[in-house]
Amino acid sequence: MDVVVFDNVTKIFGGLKAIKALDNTSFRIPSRVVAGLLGPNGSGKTTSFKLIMGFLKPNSGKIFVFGMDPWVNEYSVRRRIGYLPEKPVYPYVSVYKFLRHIGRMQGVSSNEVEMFIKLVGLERYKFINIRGLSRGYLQRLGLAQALIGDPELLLLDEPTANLDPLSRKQILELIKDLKKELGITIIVATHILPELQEVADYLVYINRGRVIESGKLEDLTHRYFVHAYYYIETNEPRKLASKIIMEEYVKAIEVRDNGLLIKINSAYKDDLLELLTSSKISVYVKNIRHVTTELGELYEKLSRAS
Amino acid sequence: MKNYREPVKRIMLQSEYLLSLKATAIYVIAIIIGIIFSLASIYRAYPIMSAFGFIAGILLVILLITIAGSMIDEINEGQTQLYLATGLSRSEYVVSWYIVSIVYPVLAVFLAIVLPVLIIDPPALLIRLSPYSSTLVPTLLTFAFAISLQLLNNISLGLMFGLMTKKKGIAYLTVVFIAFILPVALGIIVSMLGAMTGSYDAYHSIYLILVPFDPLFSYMIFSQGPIRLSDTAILLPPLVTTIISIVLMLHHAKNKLEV
Repeated sequence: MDVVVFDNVTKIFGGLKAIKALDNTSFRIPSRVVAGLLGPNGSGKTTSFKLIMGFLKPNSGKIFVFGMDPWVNEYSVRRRIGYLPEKPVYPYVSVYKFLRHIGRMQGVSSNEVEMFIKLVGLERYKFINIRGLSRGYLQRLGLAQALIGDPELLLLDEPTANLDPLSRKQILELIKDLKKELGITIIVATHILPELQEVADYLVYINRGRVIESGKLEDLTHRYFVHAYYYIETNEPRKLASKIIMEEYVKAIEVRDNGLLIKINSAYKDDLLELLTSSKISVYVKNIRHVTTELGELYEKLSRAS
Repeated sequence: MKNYREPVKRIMLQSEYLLSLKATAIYVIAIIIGIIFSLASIYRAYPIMSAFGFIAGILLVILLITIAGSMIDEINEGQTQLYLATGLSRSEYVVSWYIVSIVYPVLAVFLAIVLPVLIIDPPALLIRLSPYSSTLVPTLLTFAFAISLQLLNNISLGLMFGLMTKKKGIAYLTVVFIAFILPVALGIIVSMLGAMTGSYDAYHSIYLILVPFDPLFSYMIFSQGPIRLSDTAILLPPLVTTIISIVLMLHHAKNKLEV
């Protein structure tokens, strides 16, 4: 089932000097994926998030979130979504008071709120005024606020912007855990592609208000012949590595756990599969799966295509 | 039938939270007014009550629109999104702000006027007070209703226009125009016309423009002179204007307000 459906959505801002933020945009986000919403500045990513949340009304077209119109069914839709805005402006209150209020609005107990404060590492700053927090801690606060109420869909607008490398890593780990343990749908809008590449398995590329491409990351990888990472499960990683390292199209190879992580241009995926199913090698191979794609390369190709 | 329990619960939770942010200003207003009316009541200084009330009315309306205008700041800055993300609807959000920035303070002002007098000198509530002994003005109780209604009316209109345009300046301008510029401008116009023609009474009806917005001024103008209005004729039009502005504000919040 699709969690989010945009059907020919147009959103125009302003009167005389109108700006078309979204122009006949259509895309779908299936459930239980981590979707990356990519595009340059001003391409319509934040507008898309605000339309999903029902904060904006489309000029034309239809939007369905969990099968409902978010502008009309405000409560039914929004209570199932956790939202981290790009540049949230917080009130002049303590971390705890703000989060406690968010929790009360969603019927969450104070113990659970404490748990979320701990989860994002804000327990030391619980009684500090929000305006006194650094950008990194504000981002953690935003995440806690988005996670309260156990959302089924998480919208994260630039979640790792202005964070130090350690905080970025922690937030990415958190996103991975949320996907793995809770199976919730996550849509991430970001410019930091290497990080998105670690978590995303679905992509929507948007430029000047139009969706240029959308779909499973693996499908897009093959369509645009970009470099991708595959994981080959095996009991003999070193032996297998020695057999395939000589192939010209194998750009990198790494032994990881009980397998090999290899980087190839997806144009050669069939060649790789042929090699792995050959009689000499197939005995070592248990399974092969797409891990991720060089998003920077894909982004460049999509930008050129648009 | 639609279930109203959940929306009411959300509105009350949001109001409670907003009140905790804005409570100080409201308490200070109520305490200052309460002290002044207590002193006036103790010293039987009834004439100053309505005179003070007229000035306080204008000052309060400006002070309260400043509190109510914070809602427009919240919308423009994006803070509103954080609250709406909890499931609160746009109209519930506006109602919460309306309760905290208008209903509670107006209630506080009404009680600050009535309660001290009720405790110290209850009959004074029903005495027709007059800053000038020759003029007829409402009883203190009616006066308390009138000032409360005037605050409700002016701030509701200001907030409605401010919300529709998303401009705090428009809210302030509306309130200052209704509470201050319009009465002064009409006074000047009537005076000029009266001076030119030699008949002030002929232009008395021009002040009727103020009736839907300004019950305090209406009491001052229409309790003497050629046109005299009853309490109902003075209090009903601003009440209707207030209700219309609230309905328009909620309609806008539900159907057009983008945050």
